[in-house]
Amino acid sequence: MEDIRRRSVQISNQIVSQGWRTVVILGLAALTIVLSLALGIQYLLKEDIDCPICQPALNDYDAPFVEVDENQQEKLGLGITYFILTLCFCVLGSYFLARNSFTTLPDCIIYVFAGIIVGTGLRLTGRADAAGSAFPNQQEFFLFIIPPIIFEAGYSMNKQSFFEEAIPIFLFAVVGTIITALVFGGGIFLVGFFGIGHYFRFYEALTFGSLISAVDPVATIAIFNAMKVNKTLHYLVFGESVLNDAVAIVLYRSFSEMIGPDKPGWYLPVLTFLYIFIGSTVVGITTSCLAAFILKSTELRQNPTLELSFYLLVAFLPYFICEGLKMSGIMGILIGAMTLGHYGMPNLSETGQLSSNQLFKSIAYCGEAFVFIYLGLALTSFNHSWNVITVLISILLVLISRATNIYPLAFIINRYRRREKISQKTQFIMWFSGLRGAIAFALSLNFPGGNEETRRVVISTTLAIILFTIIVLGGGTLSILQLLRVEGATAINLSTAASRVDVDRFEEMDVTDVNESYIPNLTAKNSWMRRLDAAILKPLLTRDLVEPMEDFAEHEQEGAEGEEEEEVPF
Amino acid sequence: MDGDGRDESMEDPGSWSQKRQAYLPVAIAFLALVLFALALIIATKGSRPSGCPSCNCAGEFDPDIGLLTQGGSEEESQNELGFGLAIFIMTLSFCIVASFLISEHSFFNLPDCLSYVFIGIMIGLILRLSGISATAGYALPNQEQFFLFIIPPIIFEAGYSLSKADFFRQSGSILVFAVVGTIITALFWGLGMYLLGTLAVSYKFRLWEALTFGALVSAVDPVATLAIFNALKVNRTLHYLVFGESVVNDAVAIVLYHTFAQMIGSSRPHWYVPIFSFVYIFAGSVVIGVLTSALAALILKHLSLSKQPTLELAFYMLMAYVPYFMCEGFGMSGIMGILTGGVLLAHYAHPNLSTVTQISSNYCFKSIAYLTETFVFVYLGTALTTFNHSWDSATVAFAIVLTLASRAANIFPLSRVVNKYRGNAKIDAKNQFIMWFSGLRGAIAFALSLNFPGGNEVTRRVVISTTLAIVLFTVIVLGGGTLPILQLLRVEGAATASKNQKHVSHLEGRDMDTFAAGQEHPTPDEGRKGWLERMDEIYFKPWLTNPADAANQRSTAATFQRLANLSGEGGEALTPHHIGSMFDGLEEPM
Repeated sequence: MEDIRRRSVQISNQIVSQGWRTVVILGLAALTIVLSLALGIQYLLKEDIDCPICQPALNDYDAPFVEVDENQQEKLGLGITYFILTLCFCVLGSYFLARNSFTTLPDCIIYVFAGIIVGTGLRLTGRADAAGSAFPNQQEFFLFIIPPIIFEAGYSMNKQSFFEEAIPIFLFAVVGTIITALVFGGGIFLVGFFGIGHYFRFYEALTFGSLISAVDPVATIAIFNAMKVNKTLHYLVFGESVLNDAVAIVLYRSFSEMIGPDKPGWYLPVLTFLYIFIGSTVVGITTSCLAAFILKSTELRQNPTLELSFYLLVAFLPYFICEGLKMSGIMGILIGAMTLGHYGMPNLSETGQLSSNQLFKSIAYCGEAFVFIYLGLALTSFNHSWNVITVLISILLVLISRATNIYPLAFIINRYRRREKISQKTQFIMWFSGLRGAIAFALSLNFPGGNEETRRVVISTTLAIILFTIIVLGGGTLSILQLLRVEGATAINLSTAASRVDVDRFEEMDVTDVNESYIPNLTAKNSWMRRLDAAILKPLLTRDLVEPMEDFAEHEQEGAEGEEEEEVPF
Repeated sequence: MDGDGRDESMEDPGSWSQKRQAYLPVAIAFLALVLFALALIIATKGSRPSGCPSCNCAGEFDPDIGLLTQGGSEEESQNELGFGLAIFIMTLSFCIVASFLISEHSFFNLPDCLSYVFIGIMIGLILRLSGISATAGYALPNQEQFFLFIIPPIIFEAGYSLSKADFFRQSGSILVFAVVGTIITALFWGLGMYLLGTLAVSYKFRLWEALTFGALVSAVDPVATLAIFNALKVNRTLHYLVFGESVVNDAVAIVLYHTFAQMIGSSRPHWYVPIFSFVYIFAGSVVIGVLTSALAALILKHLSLSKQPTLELAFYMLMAYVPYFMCEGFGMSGIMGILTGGVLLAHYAHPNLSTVTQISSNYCFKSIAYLTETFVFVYLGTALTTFNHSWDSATVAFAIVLTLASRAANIFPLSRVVNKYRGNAKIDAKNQFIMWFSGLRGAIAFALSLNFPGGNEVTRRVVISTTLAIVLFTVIVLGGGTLPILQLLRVEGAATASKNQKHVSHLEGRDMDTFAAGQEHPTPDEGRKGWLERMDEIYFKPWLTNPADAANQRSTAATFQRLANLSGEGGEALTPHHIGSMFDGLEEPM
């Protein structure tokens, strides 16, 4: 008893001496407890609604466990084996590409072809059903394959360049995507209306337009690395393609709510859009800040395994929370990743930093490669319903709608831009580089509306557009640019490996990069953000790095040298 | 917890209470936030316009919905799945922080798998009370997903971090205990249950059902076993004996389970079919494991993939898990395959990696295994509270007694046999007792029970509930009670059991092992090398592994040594500077 008393006195003394921070934390904790109790009570007071259909399912403990026969598991095992082996093959393929400086093709095209070959092989040998059982459905696609890719994109983004270009990026991503979706959707609706292509209803056409306007960061980055454009433009396009996915998904959801008989009012899409956009951002920031705070204030870094496990979990948490709350997981995980990279990563032990970086990169790489393989497989193993005219027209519309996005917006931006303008050539590259990819395809898999024929047409057309943009635009850009303009061709460094793996992912995203990025570089526009960051958030959320900073500086130099040496053998 | 006060007096009071107070607000804040998030989720669930939370989902939870399935409810079910996963992720991260705090403060003398089970029970209770257990049920893996995604990382890590030198020195005894012992346990248990059933004192199983049940219950869990063994501080030999046994034993139990399961039902094959399929599965899986890891080692040796660590790590991880799926695809035992693959991969392929990938792959494998293990224990707790059980108390009681008896029938006679052929290091009575006591059951047994064959629904329910009871009994009573009992029974045993144990010690134990992996392990007595070791050194090692040049070897070994030291010391204060300094020699070998 005496012991306990002494301890409680100690604790209260400690609390007083620790001052406002403890008070704030405890106050917040009390507030959240009260709130959660209130919410819980509110919920408990609600009466349960009995549902005759699912009541047995609720009480049936084996509802989640579906009987599977042995064969099913074997099939699944075989299917996964095919996928893993193909992936291994692709890893080796891109290794050889990088090694032999084979630049004319971005390696995503190789993956697509690998997928096509495997798909054909499986179909010819009659084993397509085994692979089919291992195909992810749209849900699994979105829950397990997309998040790592997007996370890695946000995590490895150079925050400084991104924030410098924040306004043009947002303009292209938000306004530009809406324009693209509307132009494409309107166009395909009109075409169908005049009886030329497949007939879409109005909101179906708009939904289709919004899914097709998702520019794929993966493919885009691959082609951009091969082109050696300047860094500003690089981040402009990369930032756009990343954010754009989130916008496109939000648009897709808002429009798809309008399909069907019980159509809500016109203002609902706008509200949904705002809710999803803001909500996801808030969720992303909150979870990552919380994670950073926990990493800072516990000594979790003494045990790297626990640390890495924790970090992995909180990295993907925003995605699932957002999905659960009907927001955009992609948006949430993107924001979360950027925040985590900024505040959370410096709190890790060095082992943790190294391992987590490598792990995120490798998982993202596998995810990306898988997506392209999947596209190739989908081409050969699905039953398609090609509508040639619709396909042709929509390819045309894709190009047109991208043009109506880039050129007018670039004109507007150039007027207000004091720095280096977006040149004619750059605009052309931006227009050309709007490759479509995984997100568009995944969205198309579950096209709403209940009309089976429309859904098939949408899937096939989307697949055609994706393959066209990747193969023709992605593969042909280099040679076209060389033909069109000689000064463009000189800018293309033939010795760059087409692989994003070594150029973008490894070099740019150094462990030291994050530390570098908050060296104050005040520009008038976003200085309040920087001040908020430097004065409040960084000290609150990130471990004091005074001592190891010197270490970092040394390592940075060493790392830079190591990098140089590494480039030579290529 | 009354253990709390005792522990406190053991430690240096000043630093301890200070440390604790520093974490107290954080812990409270974290707890509050988790609670808040859960409440938020529950509340928003309740306010859903579609009145019934599980309507859209019911019947839709088919893991193999074809790609082009219709689904207006797909969107809904994605939200449900998102919820479920969010809940589980939060629970897991909560577990991590909890296990860290426990290890930091030595709150009570329990292995941390126990605390995970309790957390799982609480989460399950909350879910059930709030009526959204169906949502969480979405995110609960079914048996298939359990075996395809949760078990492989655990087993792989077990094989990967096995200390080869110790393992091979003990391989004779390990194989005897794992193969013969498991068969004895399964037969003893199964026949006992069958007899009890015919005497009508417990639930009546048919013969092959009883044997199948016996096979699944005889799978000793490496995770739980390791946790308790680290707490006991037994000698290294015994440690590897039991650890090795529990790893190999899983594979044997699964093979037995499948062979017996074939005999249930009307279209029963001949009696010799089980034996054939046992041999086929066993040998085939080992061959696949050997081939894939040899291939991986060869590719890593001959291509300088190490120039691109991302590609290298991706390739390594893919090759690590491929034997599992391949074996499953060919109808063999994935666990056996991935276990063999893991052991060989660590031995031959690991030295071919670049240093960066060596470190990061180690931690990745470990973290993934840690997460899945934790999930398994949380899942056990959740299963206890969210499923509808059919407890048959007589059956449960007899099953627990049989579990103890059959383990005894395995350990005591076999160690007498083994002792005859062991040179100086006999297994003494005390160690036999520990081995008997440490047969904790865990994830594998439970996962197998989920899909008990035979088509009789009642039997299946009884099997699931009984297995869950056995698992929880062994984990909680045997796992939690061993230390006090040993302290009571024999004072010399208590002396070896350290009070100041680290509860995350199974992690640290693995750290040590993994760092030993891929290095030239010191071979103390050259004379005792078996033919396997000689074959390895003359043929396999040079063929599959890069001849490490001296400088590379030295710096790599030094890095690992430093890392190993750090994680071995574990709890002691590590300044960031300290951590930073250990990477000094790192860039060199790249």
